[in-house]
Amino acid sequence: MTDSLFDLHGRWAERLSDYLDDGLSTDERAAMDEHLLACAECRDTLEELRAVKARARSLRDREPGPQVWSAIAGRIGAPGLSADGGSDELAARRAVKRIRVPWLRSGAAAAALLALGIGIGRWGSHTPRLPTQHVEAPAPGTPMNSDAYRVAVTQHLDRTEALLTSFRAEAAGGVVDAQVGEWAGQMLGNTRLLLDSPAANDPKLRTLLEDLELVLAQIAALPRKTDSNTTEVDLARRAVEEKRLLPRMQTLAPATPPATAGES
Amino acid sequence: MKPRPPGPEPDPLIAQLEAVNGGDAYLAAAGDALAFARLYREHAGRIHSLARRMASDHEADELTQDVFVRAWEKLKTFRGESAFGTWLHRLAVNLILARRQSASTRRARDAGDEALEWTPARSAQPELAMDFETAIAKLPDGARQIFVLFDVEGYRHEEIAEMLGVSVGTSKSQLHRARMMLREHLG
Repeated sequence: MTDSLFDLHGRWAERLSDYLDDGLSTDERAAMDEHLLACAECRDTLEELRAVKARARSLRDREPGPQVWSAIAGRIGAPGLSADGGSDELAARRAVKRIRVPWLRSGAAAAALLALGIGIGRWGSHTPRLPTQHVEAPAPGTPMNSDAYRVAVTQHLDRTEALLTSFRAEAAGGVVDAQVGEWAGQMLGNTRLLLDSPAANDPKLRTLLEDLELVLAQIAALPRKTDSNTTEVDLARRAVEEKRLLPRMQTLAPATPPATAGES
Repeated sequence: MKPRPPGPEPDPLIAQLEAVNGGDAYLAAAGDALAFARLYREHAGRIHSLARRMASDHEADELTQDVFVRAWEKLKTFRGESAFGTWLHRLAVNLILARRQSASTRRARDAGDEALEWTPARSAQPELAMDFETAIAKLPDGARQIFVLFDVEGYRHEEIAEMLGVSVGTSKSQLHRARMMLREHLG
C-alpha cells in the first residue's frame, strides 16, 4: 500500500496544493494519483483548489483614481502634470531634474538660434512639447523659415558629435565622467524638441534623430563615474558604433548648409 | 512606451535597447517626467491592485504613491537586467512588505490571534457570500500575502520565502491554508 508515504488521510489532503502545483516527487505523485482514485473527498477538494487557483489568475486589475497621480506628480516636483500625456508645459518644465551645462549657458546666441529653428511651424500647432531648460521656443508671430531649422539641426549635430566623441574616448579610457551624462541629458532634450518640430519632415534626418534620442538617453542614465566595463556603457558604445552615428552626423550636416542670417 | 512615428523599421540594436532597457525608463531616469507619466499609466493598475490585495483597500492609494515616488528616486539604479515592469513590481512588493511588517509589529501588541479575523461564509445563505476579492482581503496576513504572491502574481515559493523571510515549507503550507479558506467563496 502506498500509504507508507502518506499514512493518514489528513496528510494526503495537506499535499493537495503541492500536487496541484507540481511540487511532488515522482513517487509522491504516483502515490497521490492512487489515493485520488480511491478518495472522493480528496478529489472534490482538489477540484475546488484548482478552481481557486484559476480564479486567482483571472482577477482583473483596477486603475487607481486620478488623485493618486496628482499626489505623485506633486511629490516628484511636477504639480499639475497630467498622467494622460496632455501635459501642462510649465509643470513639465518644472519636472525636469536640474541639469547644468555651463558651456551651453555661455553660448546664448547659439541657443537662441537653436530655439528659432526648433520653433519652425510650432507656433501654429497644439502638439504637446517635451520639456527643456535651456531652449525656448519663439513667441507666436516670430518670423521663421525652414533654413533656420536646418541651422539649428546643424549646430545641434555639431554639439552632439562632440559629445559622442568625448563619450567614446572616455569609454575607451576606463571611466565615463558624470559631466558627459549631464551633457547627454541636455542634448536629449534638444533632440526631442527637434524631432517634435513639424519641420522635421526629412525621413533620413528623423531616423538619425531617433537613433540619437535612444543613445543619448542611455548615456544620460549612466551612473556617476561609470566604470566603462559595465553593460550599460558597452551597449551605448555599441550603439554609437553600429549605428554609425558619427559618420552619419558628419555627412548629414554639410548636406543641408545653413543659408540664413544666423550663420556665423 | 511612446509610439514610434511613421518611418523606417527600427534598427535591431535600437529595438534591443528599447526592449531590454525600457526607453521610457531611461528617459525618466534622465529627468523626463512625461516619460515617467507614461510608465505610470502603463503600470499603475497592476501596482495599485497588488497594494490593495497585499495590504488593504484603504492603504492602496498611499502605497501606490509611495511605490512610484520611490521608483522615480531610484530609476538611476535600474540597470536593464530585467524588464522595467519586473523591476517596478519587485520594488513594490518589497515596499509593501516592509510597511506591512512594521504595521503588524504594532498590531501584535494589542491584537489577538489573526485567524480569529476569519469569518467563514458558507454559501447556504447566498446573500451573505463574499465577493472573491473581499474574501482574499479577509485572509490572515501571512496566508494572504503568500496567496497573492503565488497564485495572483506568479512568484515561486523560493522567491516568496526569501522575500518574507520564511521557509519554503511555511510558504507552501500557508498557500494551502489560504486556498482551503477561499474555496468557500467561489460561488
